[in-house]
Amino acid sequence: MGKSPSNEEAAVKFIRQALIAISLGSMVAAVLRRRTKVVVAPQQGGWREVTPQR
Amino acid sequence: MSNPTEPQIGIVGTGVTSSRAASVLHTLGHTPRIESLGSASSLFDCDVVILAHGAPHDALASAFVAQGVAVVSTSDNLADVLALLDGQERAVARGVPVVVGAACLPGLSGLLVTHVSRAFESIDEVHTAVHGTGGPMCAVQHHDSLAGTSIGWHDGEWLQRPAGSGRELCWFPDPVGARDCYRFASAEPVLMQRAHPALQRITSRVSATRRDRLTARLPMLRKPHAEGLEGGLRVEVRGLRDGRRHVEIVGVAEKVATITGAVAAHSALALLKGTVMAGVHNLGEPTLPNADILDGITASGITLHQFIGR
Repeated sequence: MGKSPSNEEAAVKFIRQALIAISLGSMVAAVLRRRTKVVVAPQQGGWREVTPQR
Repeated sequence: MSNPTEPQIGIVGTGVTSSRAASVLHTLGHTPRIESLGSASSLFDCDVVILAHGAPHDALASAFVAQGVAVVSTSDNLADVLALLDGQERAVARGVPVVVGAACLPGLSGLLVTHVSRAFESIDEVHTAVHGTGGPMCAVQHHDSLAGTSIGWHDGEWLQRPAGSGRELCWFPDPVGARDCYRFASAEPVLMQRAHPALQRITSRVSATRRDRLTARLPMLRKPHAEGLEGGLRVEVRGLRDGRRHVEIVGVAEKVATITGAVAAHSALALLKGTVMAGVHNLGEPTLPNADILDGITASGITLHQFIGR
């Protein structure tokens, strides 16, 4: 006994929708990642030894 | 053998912090008597005693005060420090000075804020962070402090937040570098607010890993290390200078036990001079010779760093 055609169609439709959702999510993430500014760590300055002055 | 005529300094605790404090005192010509917590009563004849064992310190500090012995406590446990502060009347009545929170954070942090504040017309914000732990008891305290409630001073009110929240990337002097730091149950804001009542905002954070935060509410999964490998302290002070907003950032990269030992030892020496009035004090308060203590700490090999840049 095999699955009825309607059940098979529903399963395929579900998989197709899931794949579309994943693809759309990936594309949105890729666009956001490309548009996000790269945070640049401080390029100047740093820690300097000091002696407490009275 | 110590000379019976010279001032006697006692140290309670036989761990790494105790040995670092003793080492500093030895280099300055003092011979401290070191006892474990169980035999602390044998130090009742000392002039000053450093409590360098794990928290709580409150009960033992009260016993020493009752005996007329000046006390330096290295406890950074919030509840313990609050209990020690409640001993003000007892200390005044007995004519004994007590210094609480003489460690790294709190302790050196208070000294640094007082020192840095001279570069300002007025200061209104202090944000501190610490990285690393001293001995095993300090590691236990670090573990527990991430599971409690943190307090912070915000526009004249005490705010309570869950410990382990409020992630902030804090930069410490090399070789520590950048560390993710979180709110924790620290006594630092309470003591900082006592020392600098005009401050509007005080926060305190500790570096932690994901595992530290995940396991904070569980018992420690393994025995703590004998000593943290590296440590650091970062103090950020904000305020007004020449009528404009100004920020100064100072820090230290040194093992926490070494910092605590130096701070406790020089606090004890300050009390030994007899110039500190009776009562409960914390480092940074104008009632203590903060500049002398900080000078002593740097002379003991703790190097201060200032962040220069944008």
